[in-house]
Amino acid sequence: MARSSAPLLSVENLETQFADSGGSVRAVDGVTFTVDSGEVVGLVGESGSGKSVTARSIIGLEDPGEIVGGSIRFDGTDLTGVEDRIRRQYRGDRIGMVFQDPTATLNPVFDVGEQIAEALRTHDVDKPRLGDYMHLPFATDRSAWADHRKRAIELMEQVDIADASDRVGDYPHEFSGGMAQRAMLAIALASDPDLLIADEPTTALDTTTQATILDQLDTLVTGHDTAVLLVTHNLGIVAERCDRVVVLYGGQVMERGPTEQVLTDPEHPYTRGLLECLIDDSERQSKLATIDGTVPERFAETGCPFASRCEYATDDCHDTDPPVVDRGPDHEIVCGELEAIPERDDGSMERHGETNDQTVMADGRSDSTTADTTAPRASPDEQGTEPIIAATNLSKRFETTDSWYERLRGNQQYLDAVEDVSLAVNRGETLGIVGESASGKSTLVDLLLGLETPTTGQIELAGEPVGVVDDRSTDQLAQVGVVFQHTRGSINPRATVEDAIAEPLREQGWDADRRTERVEKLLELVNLAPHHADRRRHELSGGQLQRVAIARALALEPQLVVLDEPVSALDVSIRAKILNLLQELQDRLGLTYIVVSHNLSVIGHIADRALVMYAGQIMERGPTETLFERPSHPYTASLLEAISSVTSDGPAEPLPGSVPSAVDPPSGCRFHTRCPAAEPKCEREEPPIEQVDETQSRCHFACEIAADSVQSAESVTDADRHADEHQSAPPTIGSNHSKNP
Amino acid sequence: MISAEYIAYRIGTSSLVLVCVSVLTFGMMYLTPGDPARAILYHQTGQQPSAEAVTAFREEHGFNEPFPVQYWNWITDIFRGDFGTSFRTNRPVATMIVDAIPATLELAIAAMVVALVVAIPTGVASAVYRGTWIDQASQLFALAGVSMPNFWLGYLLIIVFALHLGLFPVSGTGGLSYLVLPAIALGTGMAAIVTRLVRTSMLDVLDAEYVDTARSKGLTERIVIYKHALRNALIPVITVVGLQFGFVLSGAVVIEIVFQRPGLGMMLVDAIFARDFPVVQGVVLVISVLFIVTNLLVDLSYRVLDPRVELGGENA
Amino acid sequence: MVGNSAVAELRSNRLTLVGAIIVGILGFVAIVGPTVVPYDPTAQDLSNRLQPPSLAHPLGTDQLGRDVTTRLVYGTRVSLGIAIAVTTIRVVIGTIVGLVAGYAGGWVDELFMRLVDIQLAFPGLVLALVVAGILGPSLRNVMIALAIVGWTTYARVVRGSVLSRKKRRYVDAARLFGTPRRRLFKRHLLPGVINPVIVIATLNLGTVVLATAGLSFIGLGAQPPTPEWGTMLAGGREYVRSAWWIVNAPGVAIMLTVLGFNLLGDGLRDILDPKQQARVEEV
Ligand code: SF4
Ligand code: SF4
Repeated sequence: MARSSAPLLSVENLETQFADSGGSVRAVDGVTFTVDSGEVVGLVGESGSGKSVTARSIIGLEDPGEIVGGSIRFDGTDLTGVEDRIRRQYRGDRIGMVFQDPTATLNPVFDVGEQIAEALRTHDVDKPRLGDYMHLPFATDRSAWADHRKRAIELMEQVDIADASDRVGDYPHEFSGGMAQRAMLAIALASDPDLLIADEPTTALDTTTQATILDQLDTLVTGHDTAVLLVTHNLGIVAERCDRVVVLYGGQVMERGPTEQVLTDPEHPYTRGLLECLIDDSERQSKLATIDGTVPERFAETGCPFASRCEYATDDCHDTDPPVVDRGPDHEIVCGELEAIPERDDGSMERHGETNDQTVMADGRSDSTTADTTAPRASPDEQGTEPIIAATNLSKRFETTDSWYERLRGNQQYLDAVEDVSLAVNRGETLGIVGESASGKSTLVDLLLGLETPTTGQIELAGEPVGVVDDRSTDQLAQVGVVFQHTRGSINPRATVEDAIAEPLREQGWDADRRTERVEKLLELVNLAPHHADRRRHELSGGQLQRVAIARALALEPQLVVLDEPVSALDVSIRAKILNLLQELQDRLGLTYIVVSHNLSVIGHIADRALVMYAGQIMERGPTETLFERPSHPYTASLLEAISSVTSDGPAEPLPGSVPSAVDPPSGCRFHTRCPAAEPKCEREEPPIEQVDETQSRCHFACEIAADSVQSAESVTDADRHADEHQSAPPTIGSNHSKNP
Repeated sequence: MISAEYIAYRIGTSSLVLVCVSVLTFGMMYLTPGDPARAILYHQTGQQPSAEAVTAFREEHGFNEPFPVQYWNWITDIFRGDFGTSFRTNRPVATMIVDAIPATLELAIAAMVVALVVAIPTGVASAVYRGTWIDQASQLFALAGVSMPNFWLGYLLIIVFALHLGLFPVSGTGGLSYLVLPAIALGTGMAAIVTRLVRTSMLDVLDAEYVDTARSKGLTERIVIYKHALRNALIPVITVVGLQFGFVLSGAVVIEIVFQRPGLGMMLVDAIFARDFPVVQGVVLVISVLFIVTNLLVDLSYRVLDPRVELGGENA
Repeated sequence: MVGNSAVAELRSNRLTLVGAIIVGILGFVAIVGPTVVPYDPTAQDLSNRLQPPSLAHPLGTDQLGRDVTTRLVYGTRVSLGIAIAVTTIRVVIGTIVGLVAGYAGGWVDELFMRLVDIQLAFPGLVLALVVAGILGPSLRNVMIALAIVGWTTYARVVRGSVLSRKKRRYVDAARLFGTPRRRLFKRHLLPGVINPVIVIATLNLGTVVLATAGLSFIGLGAQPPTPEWGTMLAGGREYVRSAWWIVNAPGVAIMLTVLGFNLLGDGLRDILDPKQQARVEEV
């Protein structure tokens, strides 16, 4: 890529701090990088890396933090040195920003058109006046506003909001997440900025919507030579969309350089660690590589911030700031021990099993299970037992009628959260349940656990029919352990870790000594130190909390453990650890799992069989391998295509639209509104569940689709093999990806 | 948002509440220890009434009818504009109320205006300049305001502004000058409460991400605060202002006594002491209706202000 | 900002301390005061009428020659006594109704909440005024009237807290361990209710002091010669011009009392901080 001499944005030694009861937190601690016009730069890091604060500092939204050092040169002007008024003008005119959660970033009380028009108007007027923006009579320029509103509609059309002229008067809550993010994109691009900062723009969105938004972003910026600073924790997105990448850790740059070099041949220990933790293309149910330890709460003043977790760290790393090493044009690595770091196994992305053993266990306890992690577990039919849990024709209908008045008038409204779901899980296996938001997966879990009463259907636990929680016997309750989504909320804030884990034991009448003993064992089982027993939930990190929740679920030695989004809130390095732990426990204790997740990679990694849910129904079910390699349902196929991956050969495929409302589901096949393979028949007739080879699929054309995907699967495997040999270049923004049909 | 259907629905529920309120209001008379008729006569004549007098009184005022019948007669009369006749003055209650209402309404509205005009800017400034002397001063004002009994504040104002400075009349009704001191005395407490509320609400809103979005567009801080933040911050305030109107109406009773303003409050208190039940019932009913209607209006305007609230909504 | 909030916390704790000290002094005065003061609060001394503050009468004497300081001290006992009694009744009724409505749900909840709605359709003090008036002017009746009027706040807050807690995942988790209902209630639902109730009750003590004084001022509460702040204020209103102390001494006393409870209540709210907790739990 051709570069002009002066970059558009040049951040140098930026330092942003937050005041804290114990002094100040150096959230950004000497970050340097540049962005040229028209290029896409990824700013990656885990939580606490300072990536968001860096982005916000650039646009002047670092408050309550404070920029205490360094410079931010934008097109020649140092933004840290100018008065607020000038800084404000820059952010209206030349720098746009898109934030993470589109439901929170649009003002709920103004319609979308107004919010976009405002951005346009700010670009046009020199001195924004309050009266004008408040639309006060006489103080406002009505015709100008009308004009801006018209242009807002055009902008909405540009970002692909259907029926823009009808929807311009809608309020944000009437928009789906994806749609709201498009509106936000329109706002950010209203002034045709030179730089667009996107802070985790798709993290809060459903998988199938993510790719659409990123594509949209691509198309919009390529035409205008707009540079993009893409802040994300998702390396897959970086690989697919960015020209260059900056890797942050502990508020400092670890490595920066062209995406291709950094991601395919990582040299910095941290970058390498990050990439190795990815589930991406590791073998199913194999042990994942991890990074030692956790992000410390406070980083030392000097030395490499990564030193506490780096396997190559020397005394020098702790005592002196690591040097910046130049690796070819525009590629810098901040590390003092590069010589000591062994070459990666010929740069291939293959990396699991034995090679990573030394990095696995945080407490150094060598694990007994490494050897057989890849060995297949006893397959269900070999054990020949009855399913541990089975559900037949489960349905749950919620009444959503607004008020008793509507009820009296007979205007009842219902929401079918789960419809006619049957499943059976055999001992020792893992069932994965995949679905986007509003797919009914959470309700299904609540039904299985007995927290909700099914409208119809029956649940059997170990062959015996069971009712809701209150009707289950102590033994039946003890058979099922649960790890809830949002672990933090599932632990009483007042309880210590010991109390929390001992709670089920106490309910079962264990005496204090036995409880303490059991808690000790459990803590050990989940790799927590004994001193964690006295902590409370706010003193624990996300990963530790997850371990506590797992320990509690295992307290009564259940046979079945239900895990609701067990890793979705965790950083990749921690995620890998928890997944490893889950597998280890399963092997050691012979557990049966039901794992619920919106993340296909997680299900693909851990589950033997999977259910794919959409709008309350099962769309497809079958052995995970078959499902992932030869999906026989278009929805499964779309979900698979929507995964961003470091090693995939093209950007994730977008799927239009969003999950429909369950109050008023589409006729015929629920998926027909978004299905790329839909035929007129799909709108009329609801497809039955059909057996295709090993899987069952709810699609009129399941067989054809399965046949198609066999072919493409083969070609993909080919490509993969190819990729492994030659490291095909990750495509960059705007390049060769096909648009959705 | 707001539809004719929703308005009809809200009017429906409010009417239901009103019916219950009217039953209670009418029934209050029977709270009187002993026989209400005897108590009334005792109050009127100042001596134990004879048995015949009591019987005659009961007969005349329909006290012998069963309660539902009495209530029905009372309420149907009210719909005809007949609130009964005062036991004490023998004037029609309706006329008395009509005479007294303007003074009270004038006071209540003036107090609300004083409160809002003071509270909203103070609360906003307090939140925006959080932790500075502006914030501390306004919080001090708010604390003093909620803690101060309004009748005492009334006297303080009288002492300073009427007696010493002679700027305003001490008591009575008349032009605007008669309204200033009572309105301040009554409005201060509410201003204090609303100030604190605006401050908290504003602090919450200033943390919201859409405020950053507004800033990222390059809007000036003034526009960000007064357009994007304030509108959201006022939503919770509005509901409370509705409920505060009850506070103002209650306060008006006391303030009317302090400033000797002949309004509903004074009338009510006089009637209570005189066991003048038709007047008590009438005034309580009117005050409740005023209160319910205000809250109805507040609720509807709340829905205009906050587009997220759909029709039908929660009526808890 | 984080630094500022630390400062703010300190400041608010200091204010809380001030509140606690005021309340403590008031309690002390209410309990011990009457045994210390040299005068009889009701003994009239017409020769000593309307004396301005002096050494013998630090706050002067009133229109009947009674020592204002003495009456103020006795009045503390009356005001605090009523405030505590009324608040206790409100807390008990309101909490029970809120717990039952929130926990039982369904038509029980509907019924109780409609009751609250109707109650709220009367402006509070007007209702209290009428009830007290009809029952006959006396302190006991003021207490009954104020108790009837004020329980709804507790009912609403307690119900809301129970409802939101019922949805918390840790309550679900406990159900899954087989926690019996009683214990679920005691361990997971009740603790969440106690903090807001303590905060509201503290603030409420101040409100009740104000309301009692207001009703007495109108003449519906304490009857002369009972030394009550509202009554004292009413008694002095003829003399604002000449004897300003009669009106202002009880005024300041009321204000300080209410201020004390407000500061203490605000401080407790910060300390027990139900809001911050809610924020964490939603994550
Ligand atoms: S400088 Fe040292 S601690 Fe830091 S990454 Fe390099 S080897 Fe590891
Ligand atoms: S039935 Fe039709 S719409 Fe539904 S998934 Fe199959 S092809 Fe698509």
